[in-house]
Amino acid sequence: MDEHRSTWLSAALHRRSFLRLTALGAGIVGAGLLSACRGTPASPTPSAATPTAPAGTTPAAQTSPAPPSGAGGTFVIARLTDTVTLDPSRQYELTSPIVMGACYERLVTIDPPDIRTVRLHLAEKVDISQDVTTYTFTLRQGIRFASGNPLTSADVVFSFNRLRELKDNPSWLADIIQSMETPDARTVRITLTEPNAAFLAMLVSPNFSILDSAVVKEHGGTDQPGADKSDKATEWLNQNSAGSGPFVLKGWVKEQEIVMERNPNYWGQPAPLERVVIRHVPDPTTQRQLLENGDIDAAHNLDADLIAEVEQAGTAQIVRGDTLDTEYFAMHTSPEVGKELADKRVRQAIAYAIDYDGIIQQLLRGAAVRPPSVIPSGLLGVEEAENARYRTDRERARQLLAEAGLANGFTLTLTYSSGGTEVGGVSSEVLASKIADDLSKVGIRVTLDPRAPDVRLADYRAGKLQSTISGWTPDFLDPHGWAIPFGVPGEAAARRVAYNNAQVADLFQRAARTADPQERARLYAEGQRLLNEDAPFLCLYQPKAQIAVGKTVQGYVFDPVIGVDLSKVRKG
Amino acid sequence: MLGQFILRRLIVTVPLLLGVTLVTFMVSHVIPADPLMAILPERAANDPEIVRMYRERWGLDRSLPEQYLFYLRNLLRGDLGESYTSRRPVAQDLRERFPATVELALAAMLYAVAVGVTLGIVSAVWYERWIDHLARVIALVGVSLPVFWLGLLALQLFYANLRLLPGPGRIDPRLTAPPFRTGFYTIDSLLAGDLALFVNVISHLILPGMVLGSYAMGIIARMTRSALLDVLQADYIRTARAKGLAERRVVLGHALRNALIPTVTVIGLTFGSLLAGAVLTETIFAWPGIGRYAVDAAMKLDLPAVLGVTLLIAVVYVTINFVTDILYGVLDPRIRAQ
Repeated sequence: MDEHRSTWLSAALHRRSFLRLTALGAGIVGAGLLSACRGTPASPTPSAATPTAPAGTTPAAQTSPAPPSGAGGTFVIARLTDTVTLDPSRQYELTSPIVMGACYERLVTIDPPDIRTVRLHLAEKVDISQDVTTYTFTLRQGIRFASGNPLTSADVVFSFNRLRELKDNPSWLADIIQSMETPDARTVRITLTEPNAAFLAMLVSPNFSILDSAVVKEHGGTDQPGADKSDKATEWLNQNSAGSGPFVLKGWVKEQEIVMERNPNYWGQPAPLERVVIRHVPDPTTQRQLLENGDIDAAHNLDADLIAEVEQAGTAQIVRGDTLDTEYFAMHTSPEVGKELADKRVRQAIAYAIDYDGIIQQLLRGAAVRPPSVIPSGLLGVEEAENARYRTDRERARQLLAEAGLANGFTLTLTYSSGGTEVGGVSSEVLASKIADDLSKVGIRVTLDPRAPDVRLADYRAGKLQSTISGWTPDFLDPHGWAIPFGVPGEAAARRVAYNNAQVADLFQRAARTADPQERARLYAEGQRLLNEDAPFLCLYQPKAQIAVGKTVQGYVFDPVIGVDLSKVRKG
Repeated sequence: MLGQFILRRLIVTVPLLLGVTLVTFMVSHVIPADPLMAILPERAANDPEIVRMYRERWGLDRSLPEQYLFYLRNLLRGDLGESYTSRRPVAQDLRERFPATVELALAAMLYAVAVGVTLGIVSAVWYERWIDHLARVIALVGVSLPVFWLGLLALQLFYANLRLLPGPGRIDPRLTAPPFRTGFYTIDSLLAGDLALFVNVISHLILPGMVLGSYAMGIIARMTRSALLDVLQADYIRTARAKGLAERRVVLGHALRNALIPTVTVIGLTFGSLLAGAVLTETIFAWPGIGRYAVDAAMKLDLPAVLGVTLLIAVVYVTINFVTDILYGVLDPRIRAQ
């Protein structure tokens, strides 16, 4: 049947991101975040020296806070869901953070569109030691879980220990915790294994949600060593929640629906919405039709063309915000795999040959920005690295090739995901072809090498590809989350292109131990400058999130960590 | 005798299904990529401890023949293994998704048979008249239109523009699914005593059913027409007519019964392909069936899921062939006698 011939469509619709979108922001941990902090932080003083203002987040019709009435109703989100589990300590995908944001809460949070300030939430105070190794939190009074149980420091310790002991995908986030003490029910003192100025920003991640330890234990949960085998709570947590958030989970059917209802026992202001349903709708055109017919209230996966059409037709509001996703071009640096690319000048020539503006204007309809290096715009030390940015300069590219003895060009193999989609919804084929075209203009002949998306990923991870295009989504709100994997030998991304520059690694590792935000920014900027000079990775673009919501929806703001804060959404 | 026939068919089935698992298993292992490297997130893939844990958990640390025997042993216990991506038993995934596909395929088949056979009869009876030409054009359109295009068009017209029929999904997005008993929403909604939901479920089956069934409808119409035309030339039909039998009885009573034999074969085979090949319809109509599951599993190198779906579809084909064979016997006593 035609079905078989036409699988390109379903393939194209399948947005694969390789890491879960957890976080975003400016992550100026030791820095600006303590604005909400009433206590006197033992150390890093809040400073206005925050980096780059990100290009803003556009909310849907702003509302003045109004007391929720009995109205509310059901809010339906259509998206391509990728949920594997809704256990906060195991989930590591792109859809689950929306549920985590609604049903659970964390010690700290952010308040988009301001994504640069980490704010206190369940904690009312934090003291950070001078050496950024000890973090002492004081919990707010009167917080209760949906079960009615009070939230205490023991729940915090249970949640973080369980995250680590489950030894699942996100467990590494908790590896940095050496010990936790609870002097009383409202105080938690966390000591890290090494100084880390990024820790507070890490705690914004949904994996650091605070669970109701009594309820989780009742359903077979444990935070003891060996929990990876003995913990039995996940099955229950997939269908129910054990948090303190404004909503409670009512059920999940894989790739069908996730249902949440308003938490009647919420300690804060109750959410205006009564019920939220996340429906699995893989096809973007279908999402658009559902939205325009009023059957759903938000469509999460419209591509740039559909967004433009909907906007022009005036049938929905478009909510925009900054993601921390990045798309990059990777070049292998070894003579065996990289061949000509082993010469730094050849990689630099490619950096000068790519038409970055063309990619953003033609392929993303302008809905993207481009940071100077692989660390996304909006984070600490990125604006400071502005002078390391590559700009298209074909003359310079040809000159560099000539210096490398390749005046007549050479043949480069560019591997990409056949039928795949890159971050920002760009077709892999189209992006690869665009780059091939750009490179041909300086004499580099590109052999396009399409492979099944996961075969490409596996080969890239195994370090077998001469060059490829790939995406990266954030782990947490701090440049640390990019600096290490891209800049330190043997780490996730660096290993795949055999990148090794001890100087870059040292700068990035020192930055993590530095409390002073200005000094941190300087170290990150210097590291990025050297990284760009080596050019193993070239950032192509950082897409904007574009979400279409119904015309009567209010208070819908894109949140790069949890997708959207559902407690603020209402329907007119 | 029929019992013996059934038994013989059943015995042949076992090596057939074994062959299916073996071939799928081998083909899946020819792909020169490590499924773990494709499935695990960035950090985990870089952590030898986590990689080792998953390798052990899924038995990927064993040799290939060992893995295959291991799989067969579990299969005998009804265990299809654990999906690498959903990290749930494959049997559970299929249990949740297969009813959705069967429900859709049945709706499609109902449409295809009703419309296809009718068109075929009309064409054959009014051979080479305008109504024949019209019916043939309809059948041709059904066979040749790409399903994804037809699906998008049908949604745009009947749902977005005319608002005559409900949109994608098995129920309206704001409604809640009936409690899971059989997985068939039609049955489950009735079991829950929710008539409004039942009506909603039926209305959601119409559009995707017609889209998915359009190809089968075309084939069935053409097959019925040509078979009926053949039969209408036969001596016994001339005899029947000569005896002064009403034309209606000649066609429906005598000719159609024999003409249906090739049609039944086609119905059987297309039903199988409806189950296995509804990927695009399922995508466009946000239908959580096994078609998309199979494609996703293949793209993610999710071997247990691929094996599970392949096995399920093989069982379906075998069953359909089996039922078709028995139907032959019912329709034509000569086949039974052989």
